Amino acid sequence: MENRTRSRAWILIALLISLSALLSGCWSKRELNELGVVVAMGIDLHPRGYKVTAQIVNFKDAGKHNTSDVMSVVTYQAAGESVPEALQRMLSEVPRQLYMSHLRVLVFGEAMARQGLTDVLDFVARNHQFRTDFPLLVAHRSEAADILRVVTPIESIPANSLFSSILVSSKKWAATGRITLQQFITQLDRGGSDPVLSGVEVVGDKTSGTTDKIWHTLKPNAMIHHSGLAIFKRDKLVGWLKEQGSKTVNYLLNDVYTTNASFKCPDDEKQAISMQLQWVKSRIDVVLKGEELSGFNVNVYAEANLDSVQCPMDISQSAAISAIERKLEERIVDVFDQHVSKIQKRYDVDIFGLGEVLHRRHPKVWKKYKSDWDKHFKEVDVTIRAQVKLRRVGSIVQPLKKDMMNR
Amino acid sequence: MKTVIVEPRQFFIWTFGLTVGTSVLVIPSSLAMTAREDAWIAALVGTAINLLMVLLYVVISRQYPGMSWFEIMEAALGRWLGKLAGGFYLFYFLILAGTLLGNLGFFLTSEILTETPIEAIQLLFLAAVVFAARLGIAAFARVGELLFPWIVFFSLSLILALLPQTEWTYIQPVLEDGWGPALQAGFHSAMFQELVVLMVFLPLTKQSGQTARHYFQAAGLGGLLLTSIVLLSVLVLGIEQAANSTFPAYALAKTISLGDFIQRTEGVLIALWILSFFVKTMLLVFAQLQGLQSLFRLRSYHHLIYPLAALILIVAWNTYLDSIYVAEIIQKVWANYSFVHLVVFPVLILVVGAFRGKRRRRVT
Repeated sequence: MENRTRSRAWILIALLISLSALLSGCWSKRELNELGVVVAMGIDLHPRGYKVTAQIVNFKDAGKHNTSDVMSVVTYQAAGESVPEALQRMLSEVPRQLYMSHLRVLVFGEAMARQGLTDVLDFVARNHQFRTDFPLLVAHRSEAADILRVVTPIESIPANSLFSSILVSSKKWAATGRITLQQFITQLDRGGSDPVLSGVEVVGDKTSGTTDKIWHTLKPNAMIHHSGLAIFKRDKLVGWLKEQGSKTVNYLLNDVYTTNASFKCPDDEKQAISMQLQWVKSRIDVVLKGEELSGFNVNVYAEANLDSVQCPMDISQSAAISAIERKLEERIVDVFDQHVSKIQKRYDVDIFGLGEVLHRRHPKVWKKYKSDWDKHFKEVDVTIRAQVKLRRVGSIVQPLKKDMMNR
Repeated sequence: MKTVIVEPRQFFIWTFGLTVGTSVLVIPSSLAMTAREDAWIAALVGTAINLLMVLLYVVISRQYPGMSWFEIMEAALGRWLGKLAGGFYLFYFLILAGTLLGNLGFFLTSEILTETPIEAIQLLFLAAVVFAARLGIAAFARVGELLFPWIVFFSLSLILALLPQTEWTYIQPVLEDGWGPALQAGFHSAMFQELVVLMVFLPLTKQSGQTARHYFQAAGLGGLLLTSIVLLSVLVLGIEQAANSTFPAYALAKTISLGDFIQRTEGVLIALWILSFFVKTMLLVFAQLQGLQSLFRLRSYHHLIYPLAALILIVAWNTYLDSIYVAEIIQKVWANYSFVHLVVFPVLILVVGAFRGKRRRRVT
């Protein structure tokens, strides 16, 4: 009996000692001071394959409000036949292990986007470190590297600045797109729709944007600027949309949260009435003629609040209100018609996802058009209808100009 | 062994764990591949098929009251034929336990602990399994009761957190190619819940009427959880990505973002899969131990725990060669192999039992 307790004690001691082997931590441990946290990545073409630019947080300063004179981020660059190879090569310069899970934005150079994104996206989707919820951007008329080398005011980490300005502008302005990796891949694989991505460009002097001098001036001489949507045919960039075109696309994709709309005064071409739109919704309906597709109806519904009135009109009558509503509806239909048919004629890519709507609502009809949808899309009738409800006129009723003229 | 008594409630938790375990991680991609937008209908079909199987098993257990699955087979098919069939089941359970362990190791090493040797993870998990097996079925039944609230909590938080991201148009068109693909995928997915395992434990419970009811309810509820995860995979990821993900439920957890504030929760939600893996693996281990005991008429199975654990590990290393190989096996071989054990043998036993019952009645 005693023998048994003694041997038990020995076993226990042996077990306790073997436990100390676990104290070194686990295999996959990653200490914060060994990580180079990549917050933004840019990918461009290179004679060797790809050129990858990574913006890595400099932890000495991040978190503090830029009081010291150390930059919050550093950008590194390396080239390789594939993106992972370039990232490996980057380790010859970066003193730390690259860590991708906190990536905020992924930027593609325009040349690269024109050649096609699938090969790079395969890596990003396959690698377990990348999440799928960061926005993808295309550098307009420049390389991705230029975008990542601009120091931004207000936000000391440029990647965060890019990320939050995408959030804010897509929510309040509606001419940019917050298209994440996941959405892009889904649209790429799906029949009957083509993807769009938001564009960015550097305005001003590209080379002087790289120093912290920007923080010491009121008017920075280099800024990152959001520049409309990039149209893709499958994974290749084919063209750009300007502000109005981008807004139109976002309306149709139901991605507009609030935005601004304006039209000219009835009796003065130089002045305008401007409104804020809220609760914007659009609905795409398929019009069939028997078993044939005859067109699509797009119904746009929005609530408007009066923002500014620069014409001397009488707002106190409900007839005036409905006149404004009709006018805005006309304007929306006009602008949309113009841009939808432009996109149809010039690019023949279905970025509105009309084919997808047809597929989901009428799968049998879709089968007839599926194989050469791009051709059908080019000729299909798209009828736009708008319904605007003016709900609030703001804190004053009559336009100041009217009061002033009636004096 | 009959002295152990399992509460109907504990039996409910076992059934639920067996239905949900692993299936929740892998089923959505194969369903989305075959049934496309109708993956959720296929999941419902799968649940219905599972319930029919449970009905079959309960009827059989009524024919042979108080007997475990291995004893039933001996009683129905005769001693030697019954033992042979029991051997088939032992092998089936062993392969299942091995692939579960392989699946767990591959999941953890490809998504989270990429630099950790897969063997280390599997050994650690197996150590917990051995530990639990040594404590016996009654202790494990109570562990189940401890784990169940967490499984429910994590499943509910996964589902609720994903609701804001659903895109309802993603499940349109409904039944584009008719019922064919949905039924086929549903049948295929019903072969992965292996509810027959619980027949080994049915005689351990006392109130057999209530237990049978719990058997049904848990299979149905587990099926509903599977269906909602499948539905969410399609609604959030879209069929293209749901079908192309190695672990769609994990990809799903990655997308959670509540107000850009509650994010990156996948690390926590992994607990859901590990807990359900544990319940399922434990049930398979106990089923094998019980089976060995009853086939070879052993007095106790305690000395078999370590050899069995080693065997499971070897099976895990030799069946789970890589995820593509396993996916191919699952697509082409497994459903048919499983079908033999889940449906063919039980139906055979039911028919034999019905004949015997008739003959017995005639004699008396």
